[in-house]
Amino acid sequence: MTEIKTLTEFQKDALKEVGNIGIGHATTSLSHMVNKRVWISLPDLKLIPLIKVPALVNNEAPVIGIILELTGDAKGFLLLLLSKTSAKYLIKLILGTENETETFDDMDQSVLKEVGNIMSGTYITSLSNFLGIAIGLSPPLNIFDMADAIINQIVCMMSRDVEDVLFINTEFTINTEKIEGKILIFTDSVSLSKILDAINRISGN
Amino acid sequence: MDLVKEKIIVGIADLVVVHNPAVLVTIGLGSCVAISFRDPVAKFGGLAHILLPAIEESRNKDNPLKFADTAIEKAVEMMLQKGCVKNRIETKIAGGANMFSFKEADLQIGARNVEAVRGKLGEMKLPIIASDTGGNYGRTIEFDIASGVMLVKSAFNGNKEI
Repeated sequence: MTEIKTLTEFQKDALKEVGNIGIGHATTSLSHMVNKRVWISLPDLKLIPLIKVPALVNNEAPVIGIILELTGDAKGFLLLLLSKTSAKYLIKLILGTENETETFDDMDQSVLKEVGNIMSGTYITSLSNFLGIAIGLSPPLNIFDMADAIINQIVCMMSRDVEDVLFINTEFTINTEKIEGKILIFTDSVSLSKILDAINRISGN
Repeated sequence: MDLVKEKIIVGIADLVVVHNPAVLVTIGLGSCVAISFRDPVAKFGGLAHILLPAIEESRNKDNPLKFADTAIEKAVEMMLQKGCVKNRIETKIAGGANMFSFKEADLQIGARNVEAVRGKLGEMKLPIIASDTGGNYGRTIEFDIASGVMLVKSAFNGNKEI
């Protein structure tokens, strides 16, 4: 399998559009869950050596990370990151009540998992449908720890087989509720070539 | 009054060897392992941040600093070049956690890194004078070359000096 080292402008634009579709669907599903308007950023997309990823995130603060493994035609991980306060606000919005402790109880955790499931599910399903490829998702895992350490473990897990990754970072906010989050996608260069093939098929190149 | 010591960030698959005074910092270790090296007489210290056990097992061997075995060799080589004496070098290790896992095989990533680091240091007869490894949480490391103290910080499991 060929390893792709650089992206053309066309490929970058096409991948950004694919990322836009994904985050667009994911945030629409979030918007339905909370009945609020959700804003999204333009995707930041890079094909970079795996070991350069941590520097792009660079956040020592404890965050809620909801992690799902990508399977099938694209291998890698999807990571949903929420600051602690954002996660608390989001839970309050969904449950209508608040756990006033510093931690996340079982109910909070299952709400976060469900948010992770729905957002990542819609993200990945919309990509799969749009591209005509089959990307699967593992059940979500929740973790509350330093963002950098979560990324560090993902990098360790991928580094055995992977040199370069396609890294897509999209951010969303619910302005009225002070909720900010990120969806990060890490996928390897073999998966990237499958995605690019699919883009070529769609665009008739 | 304490002088403000320069803090040098050591990234993933990175190695820094410098003269005292300086504090070498690596932020957010998950399954990776940080290894500190110090020659108290020559007043040199180093910090390596590895992510895989052995260069042999990897397809791509471009960056020796990614692997426990080759990074440790490289660190010692740099220390010796700077006038350190091998039997004075002391090491400390931290990291190698398992924060989450999807498969059986994932469980061992941190533990295998720690095992590989211990194995290589043992083979090179470099004493490990302190360690803080394993668990299911991330760590940030600050290694003070002047005192040799390694400060291990975590989000919810407290901070400790080793």
